[in-house]
Amino acid sequence: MGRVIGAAAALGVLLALALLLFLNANAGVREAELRAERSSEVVSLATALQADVLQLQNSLRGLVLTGEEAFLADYSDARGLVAISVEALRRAERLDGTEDDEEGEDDGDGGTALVTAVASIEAYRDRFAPVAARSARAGVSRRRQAELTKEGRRRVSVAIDRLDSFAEQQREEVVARRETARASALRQEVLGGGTLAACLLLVALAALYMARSVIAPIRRVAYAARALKGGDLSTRVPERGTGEPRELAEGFNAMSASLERSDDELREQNVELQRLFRQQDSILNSAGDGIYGLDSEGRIRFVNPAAGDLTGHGIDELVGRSAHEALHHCAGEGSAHPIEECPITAVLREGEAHQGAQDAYRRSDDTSFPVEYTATPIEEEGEISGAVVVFKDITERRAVDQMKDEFTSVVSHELRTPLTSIRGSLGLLAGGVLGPLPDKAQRMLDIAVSNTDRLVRLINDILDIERMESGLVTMERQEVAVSDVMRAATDVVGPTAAEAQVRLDVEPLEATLWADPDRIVQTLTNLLSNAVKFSPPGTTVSITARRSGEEAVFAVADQGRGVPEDKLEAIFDRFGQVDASDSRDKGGTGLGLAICRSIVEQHGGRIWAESRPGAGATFSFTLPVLAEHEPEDSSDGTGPAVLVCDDDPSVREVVAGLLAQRGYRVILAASGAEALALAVDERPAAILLDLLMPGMSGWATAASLKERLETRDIPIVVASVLPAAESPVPGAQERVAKPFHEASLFEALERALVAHGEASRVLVVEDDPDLGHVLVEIFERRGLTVAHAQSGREAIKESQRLDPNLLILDLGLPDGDGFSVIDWLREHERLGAVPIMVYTARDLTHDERARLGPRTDVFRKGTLSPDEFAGRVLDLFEHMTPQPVGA
Amino acid sequence: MAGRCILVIDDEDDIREVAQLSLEAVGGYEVLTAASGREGLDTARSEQPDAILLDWMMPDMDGPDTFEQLRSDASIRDIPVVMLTAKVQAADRLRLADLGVNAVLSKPFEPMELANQVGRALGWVR
Repeated sequence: MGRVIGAAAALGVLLALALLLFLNANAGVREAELRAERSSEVVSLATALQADVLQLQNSLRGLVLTGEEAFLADYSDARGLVAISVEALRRAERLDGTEDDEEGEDDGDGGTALVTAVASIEAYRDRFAPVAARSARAGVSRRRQAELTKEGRRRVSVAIDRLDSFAEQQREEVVARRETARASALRQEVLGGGTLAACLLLVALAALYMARSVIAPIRRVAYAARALKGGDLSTRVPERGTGEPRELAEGFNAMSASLERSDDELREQNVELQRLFRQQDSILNSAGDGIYGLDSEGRIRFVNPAAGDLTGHGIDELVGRSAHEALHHCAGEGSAHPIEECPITAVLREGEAHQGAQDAYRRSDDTSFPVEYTATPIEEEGEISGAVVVFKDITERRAVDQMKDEFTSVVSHELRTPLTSIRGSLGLLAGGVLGPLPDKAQRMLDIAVSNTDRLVRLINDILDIERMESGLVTMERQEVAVSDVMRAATDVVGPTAAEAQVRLDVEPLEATLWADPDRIVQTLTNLLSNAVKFSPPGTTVSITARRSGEEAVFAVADQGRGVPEDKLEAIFDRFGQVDASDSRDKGGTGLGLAICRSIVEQHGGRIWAESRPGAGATFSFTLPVLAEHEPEDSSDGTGPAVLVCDDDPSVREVVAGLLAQRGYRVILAASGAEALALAVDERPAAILLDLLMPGMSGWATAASLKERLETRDIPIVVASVLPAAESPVPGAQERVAKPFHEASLFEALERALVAHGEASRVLVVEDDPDLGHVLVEIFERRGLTVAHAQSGREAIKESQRLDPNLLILDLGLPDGDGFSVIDWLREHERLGAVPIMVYTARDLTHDERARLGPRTDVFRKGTLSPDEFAGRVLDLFEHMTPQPVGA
Repeated sequence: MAGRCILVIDDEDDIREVAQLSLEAVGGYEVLTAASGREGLDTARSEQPDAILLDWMMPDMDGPDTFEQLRSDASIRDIPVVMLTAKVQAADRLRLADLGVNAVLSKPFEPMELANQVGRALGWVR
């Protein structure tokens, strides 16, 4: 760049110089022309002067020869003319001369010639002519005349000659000047031309330079780019020169280097991808489990050979088909799933992985086989693009499970039968039925008896834990008081403790569990008898329960030898006793704690042991606690609150009793003013209002209630002895006549509450949070009061709180089935009558249908959309005769 | 309690013998035995015992079947029945309770206690 600027500057200077030279040359020529012009003027003035001088001579000669006055006038005129011409010539010459002086050269010749010429003329005019004229006037001789004439002629001739030479000189000078000017102009023109030529040369050089230093590199880059495009990513251009071309080259090289790197990486990734493909292929091909992929539409995208073998279908035959149709995923019993209920299709819809072991696949020959499968959605950029399903034929495992089950049952019977004989015989012998025995024989029989007992316990425990851990035993949950299970357990262990001289210290808790009481007693008994077993005589075993948040924490503490720290976990394993000989010494089976753990965990609790060796051990476990039970006190019902306003205390008492019996919460007010205050504070669901009251009347009270923002939405039921037609109360919803007819009082109250939405309380029991929310949303939008419970435990808690008049129940709940919720409700005085809408994913058996009871409607999941379902619920509400809360 | 007659129905000879001895020697009852449900029903009809101790698991006609037959026969319908069973599962127990037997005792039984347990279960002794 620098060079280019330098070259441009030089070019500029040269061009300016050339221009200057041309201008100068032109000026010189013009100057010379001007001079020449002036010189010509001087020459013509000199010629005029010559003519004037000749005129003067003529007139003088006339005067001299004739002496006539006529010539005197001519002579005077001629003299004047000469003087003017001389002056003019001088001025012109001076002008010319001045310029000469300024130029400082070629001074003199013209000037001197003129001076002498003028001097001779002036001498002739000023000295000779006047003398000659005077003498002529005076009259002179012929000779004198001749002399004067001759003299005059000579002088004039000299002057004329001088003027001639001056003019000649001037002419020559003009010529010379022109020559010089021309020469100078020529010189400068040549010089200017040269400079121009130099400029051209410079431009040419610059162009050449540009071509070399700019165009070439660009062209090189262009060639290289073409090469790059052709696939040669190793192409580079030389990074020569400076400035932009270099930068361009560097940029290009960097770019192609980066391209080459990316290309290398791509190549490597390609290799890695191919490796992964091969790996995936070999995994798919060698996997024993059937694997197939689905696209988002549920069509099969790929199938591994095992899937083909397991289903009897050819791989090609499966790809592209709907998996649901091809493999006909069906429920366990063989009844087909409609596609909308197919859990694998649901994975595509909902994007959550699903595992199943209850379903069956159909083979190509229409036989089916039980499968265990995992369907995992594939997400791409937040969208579910498909799923992968891995399945295995579990026919054999099913068979094994069944065998195990049968085996368990057989063991149960077949082992016990001989044991019964053995234990019976030994017992009778040891009991002395057949006569007294020697001490040693008695001792041996006692040993045989106690070990037979242990063997029986062992068999019982093994069967118990096997069945429990395989999920064959379900916990029969019910409401159970903590103090009850504690008492039951201490009753069982009490005699043993007394025998071992161990004191039992019980500290119960007032709380209710949602648990299987037999199993909890079993757990406590187990822990207590362990504690007693390891307690030295005279010590205490304490059993306590305390509340911790939503849980009850049970603790059984002894003062025995304790448990080493490293065994605190292991003792809950099967046969995980601290010392294997313990089980023999203490008569345990080594399974007790494992059973306890299994029971506690199935109830959603935790069990653990703490100990300081030598200072005893504490075994604790937690169980979920039900919400505090509202006391069923009639005056403190849990139903909607009703404010009863009547000045008559006996009426208040009677009405309060009636309402409380029906489960209403009753608030009493003795006057209109009190009713107003209580209505603001308590916000009752309805107000039962007397009309004839001292002070503030029922009408005034109603008007005030309707005026206040906080109370104006509370429905008012007027209770009066006055006929309704004669005493209308503005703002009152319902009216009952006094004295009360129970049924009409309740009906009026219910109508008011239903109209007010108070009676439309729905409890949705659904473990799927999404579906639960959808239902809650739908009902809330329709103005119902809704609560949502996700488990049986919550359902019971919520139904106590909300006092619903409709229960929507999913039968498949996580912590036990919906049946146990229904059983609980049916036993509840007030909630027992609440209609229930059951919906379930499966068909109910006849027995199950019977267990649901008469006030239950059953809907199949999937047959109704949530909206349709909600519609049915609302229909039900509309047709529901107001249900007395406590009916 | 003396003089009361109990019929033991069990397919296991050894168990019948032990139970018989236990009931006779410890409880002082008169004991009859039968090795099958069918035989037991016949004996019950002919001998009209005061109670029946019935085993659940028997080949051919098991305890519940025998019990049903017993209850459907007017001549022996009122004889109280104590079921003896090796089954310990809660579900099995529930099924027994549904059947309507008077009591359930588990196997193996404590021979020195059996007579007492039967007596208590049937309200004969306190």
